[in-house]
Amino acid sequence: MPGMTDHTPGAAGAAPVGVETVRARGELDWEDAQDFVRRLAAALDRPPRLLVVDFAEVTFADSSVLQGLLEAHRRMAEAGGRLVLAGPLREPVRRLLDLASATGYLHIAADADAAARCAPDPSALRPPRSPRA
Amino acid sequence: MSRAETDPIRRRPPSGGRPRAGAGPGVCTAADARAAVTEALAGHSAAGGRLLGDACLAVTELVTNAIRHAGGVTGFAARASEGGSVLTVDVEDASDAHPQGDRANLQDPTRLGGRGWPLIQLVAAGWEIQPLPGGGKRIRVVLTG
Repeated sequence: MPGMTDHTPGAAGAAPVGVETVRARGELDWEDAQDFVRRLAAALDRPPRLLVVDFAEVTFADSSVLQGLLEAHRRMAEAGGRLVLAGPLREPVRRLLDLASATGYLHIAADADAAARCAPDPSALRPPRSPRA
Repeated sequence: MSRAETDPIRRRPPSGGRPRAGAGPGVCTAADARAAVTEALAGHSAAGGRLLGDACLAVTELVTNAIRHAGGVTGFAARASEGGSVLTVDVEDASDAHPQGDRANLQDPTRLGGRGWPLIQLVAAGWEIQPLPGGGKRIRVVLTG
């Protein structure tokens, strides 16, 4: 798997590149978010430098969706990239993030264009964390 | 104007008493439950968007818990007060086990789950868990606008 060697700690030029966008729409809950979760997982198989998760058209989200976002956020950070949630977020989504205090650590951009400018600075990247030794 | 004129298909207990769990036909999924609370609050101008949004989140978490951990929903009812400022929701399932999770689960990004029940507790004005005579439980959640 090339993806495994790309993330070797300290390897020069190993920082992930590129921007990917995963869009979702409508009401996302545990039963109805399967397609979104699959596409999110596919993007994380080979993490880009910037993963934009566009929620502008998401009208509802539950704790299972939040769980998926948090997991993806963590995996992106571990790979040296960044997940940015693109709005404008609808009120039910913002309320969910507020209740869970997730606005404090998820990167959130006003819209997809703003999110596209949120790639982490490669020179500022920490070496990606080693896979489980 | 009576609510019967504005919302003839609402699910309301016959005598205006407690909501009858199981009275709402066909609530099997979280989407059904969101439709039911939307219907219960329809036509109430006093029912703000926050109450409806929180109610949709609460019933989604309750129904999803029932589906994932108890084999599904065995009863559901949603009733708005006159004026629509209070919404009472009952969700029944066949498991005696109580929902788990506290605020630490909710706000710790490293936890793998257990956020549903603390979310409900945050948005609810009150809640209770009642055992059902034949086994299982009813979770009643009250939300206010």
